Amino acid sequence: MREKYINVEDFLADEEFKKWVINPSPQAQQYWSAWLKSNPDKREVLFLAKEIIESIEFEKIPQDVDASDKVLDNILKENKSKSLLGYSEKRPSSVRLNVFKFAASAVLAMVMVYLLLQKKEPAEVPQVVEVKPIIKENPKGRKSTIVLPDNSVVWLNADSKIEIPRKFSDTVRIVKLSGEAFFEVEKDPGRPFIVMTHDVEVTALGTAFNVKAFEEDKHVEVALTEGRVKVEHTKGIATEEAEAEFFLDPLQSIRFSKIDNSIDRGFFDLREVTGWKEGFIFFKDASFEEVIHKLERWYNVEFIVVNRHKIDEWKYSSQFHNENLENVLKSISFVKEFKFKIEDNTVTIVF
Amino acid sequence: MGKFVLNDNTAPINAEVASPKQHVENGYFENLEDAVIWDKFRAGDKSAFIFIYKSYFQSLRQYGYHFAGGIQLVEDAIQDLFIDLNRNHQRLSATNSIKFYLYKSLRRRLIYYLERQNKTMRVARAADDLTFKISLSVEQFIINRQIESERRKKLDQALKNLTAHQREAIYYFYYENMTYAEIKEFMDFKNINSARNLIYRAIDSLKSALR
Repeated sequence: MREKYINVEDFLADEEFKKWVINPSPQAQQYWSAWLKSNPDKREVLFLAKEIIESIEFEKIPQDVDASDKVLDNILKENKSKSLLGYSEKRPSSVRLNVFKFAASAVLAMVMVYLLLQKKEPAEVPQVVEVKPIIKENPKGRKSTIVLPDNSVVWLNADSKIEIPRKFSDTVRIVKLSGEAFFEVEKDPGRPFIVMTHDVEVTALGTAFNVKAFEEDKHVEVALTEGRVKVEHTKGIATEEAEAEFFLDPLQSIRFSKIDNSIDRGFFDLREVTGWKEGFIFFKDASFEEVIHKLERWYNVEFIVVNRHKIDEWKYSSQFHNENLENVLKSISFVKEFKFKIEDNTVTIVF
Repeated sequence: MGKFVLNDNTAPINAEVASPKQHVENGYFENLEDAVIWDKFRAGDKSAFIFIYKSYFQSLRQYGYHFAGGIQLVEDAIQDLFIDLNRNHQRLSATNSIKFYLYKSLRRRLIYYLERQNKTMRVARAADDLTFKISLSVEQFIINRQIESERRKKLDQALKNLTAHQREAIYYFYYENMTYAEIKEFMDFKNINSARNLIYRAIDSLKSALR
């Protein structure tokens, strides 16, 4: 034991010693006074080590009771912070120049007009401003195409919302999605493109992929058509469990269940996942709920289901191309045997 | 894993400043083990959730400040952390130390938020010199006379010259009284020697000031 402690460093690095200094127990107290008695020559070095440990300080900030109440209020209202997207940025002085540099196609020019119209600040603004992101939201029944400032293209599905910063930073391109969108990302290896959703985060360099992340759905799905992406299951960060990272190859998809956290990886049918942007509705082994949800979003209708208990387990597969709702329902009802009635935005289904 | 021993400076009960909630004031939770309080929260007990928040907000805020070097981001991160904890309460794992659990979750989240804020995928922290601002306390040296003022200055400077990573480890080791095993777990190291080496190297850098 004796030769264990020679220099100050030996004391400083010793778990038992520092524990005694910081939080002395009666046993430790007894042990160390006995130790000192049998090692009187170590007295000075021991007390030097003790003093150093006791003197180490870290800058303190004053407590803030108001902050505690304010944050608790936000927690109970479930207001998430804006830290991830609403960051302040130095206002780019040459934003118009940059804009026109990119304006290569008519579609793009239109989008830029939209961007500029959204910009309500006066021409001269203070150096640092809170740059509010652009929010593009489709109601049920409407799809849209958006060209981003970096020339990447987004097909935004119905009932979906995307947040885009007014200008991407020099180091990373971040957009925030809830709902479904297909991304064709402009190649820029120095500037990763990140799609953030409630549950997953997809990082890409130059590639095309589909993200399906409706908040009310039971799972989130990412499917890659070309290139390579990294998918992170960000739900993990609330817990001690490590964040999950996955890489996808072309035609691979990954699906995270929100119910049991299970993960499903596989290859997908291209039309099934990305067909929606060409006007195809695909069903493959779809449950009743999946069919209803998809139709609600696609046609902006609500379903009323009568005699729901009579529904057995559905595994419905079919495809429709630019078909109206009545024809789609006729086709499904023929197979699944139900009656339906369409009135304005309400569809009543009777089993 | 051993218990994450609380330092008086950061003890949750001291951090509890003003609590309007009766169940907190009547001390019902204060006499319970961490594991029990945590389980109540996991089972959906709202007052356990409020108690945990009230008990740890100030110390989490202080710890987050050490780690990130700023306040706003830390308060945002604490807010989002508790929202997610609350939403996912049924899916959380058990713990014997709520403090360890919360600190580690906050640290993980801050790394994540800082990455986004810095807008680079590679930089995972705030500017190094803003984090874990360390010094040798002056008051301590008025009372004790082991270290004369010349050596004190040198030591103080040597501490300030440590890397951010080393200062962080020093904080856990001497300030939060963690063991090497706990530091390994807390900082997500693969093995305990990484934790040891970090402390050893820090102490090694102080050597010249000590001789």
